[in-house]
Amino acid sequence: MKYDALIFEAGTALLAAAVLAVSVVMFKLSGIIGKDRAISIPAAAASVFLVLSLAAHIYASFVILPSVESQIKMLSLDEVLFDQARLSAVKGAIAALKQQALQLRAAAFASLFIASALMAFSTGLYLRWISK
Amino acid sequence: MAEETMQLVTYLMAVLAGVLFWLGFMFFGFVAQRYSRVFNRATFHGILMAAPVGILGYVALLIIKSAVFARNQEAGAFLQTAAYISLLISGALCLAGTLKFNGVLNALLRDREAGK
Repeated sequence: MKYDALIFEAGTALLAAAVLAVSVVMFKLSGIIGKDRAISIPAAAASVFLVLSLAAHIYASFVILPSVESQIKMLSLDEVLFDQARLSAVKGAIAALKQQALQLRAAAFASLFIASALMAFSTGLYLRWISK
Repeated sequence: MAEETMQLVTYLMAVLAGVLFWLGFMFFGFVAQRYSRVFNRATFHGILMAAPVGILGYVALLIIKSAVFARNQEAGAFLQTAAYISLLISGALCLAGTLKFNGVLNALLRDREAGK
């Protein structure tokens, strides 16, 4: 599962670098046609959102999920299994960690969505300018 | 928000993000194509227009995984890995294409400066 996460994170990192490069190119292209160079800002912001998405995904994959796994392992221990108070504490911790992982995943994909919208807006607007 | 609703919204955002990234890079590819015609130089627009197909592949595989193989964990895991690999290849090609276009643009701008 961690292998999967690494592939996804490497893909997102490459995409962030590509979008940053698009922003640099848009900056130069807007100078060529004498239009506002601010057109490159949405693409630059998109790469920032991609990095945020990447950070949330890394945190969820390498900090929260291992914590969930270690809590689940504790459920098989006799001293936890036969102690009602500890059992309910571990179950509560697992539920809280799972909720946190879900929220982080949602935040990561929301950032990815915002980044994609900004990128499409920036390149779409430039294409419209040069199509007139 | 309920867990299932949150997962559905997350999944929808991933699909929409994939489609919008594909669209964004396609627009960028069309821009490169226009410059290729204007300056009569290779701007590698072919790579730029082909590379984001991998992002669409990522979206398609995610949809297939959730719609067809929701209960088959083994097939689902395989499809997820394939989707991520597709995203990785696409990201690498998008970066390579954009950097190539940037190199061409730098050369054009240098020529323009030298001609002044």
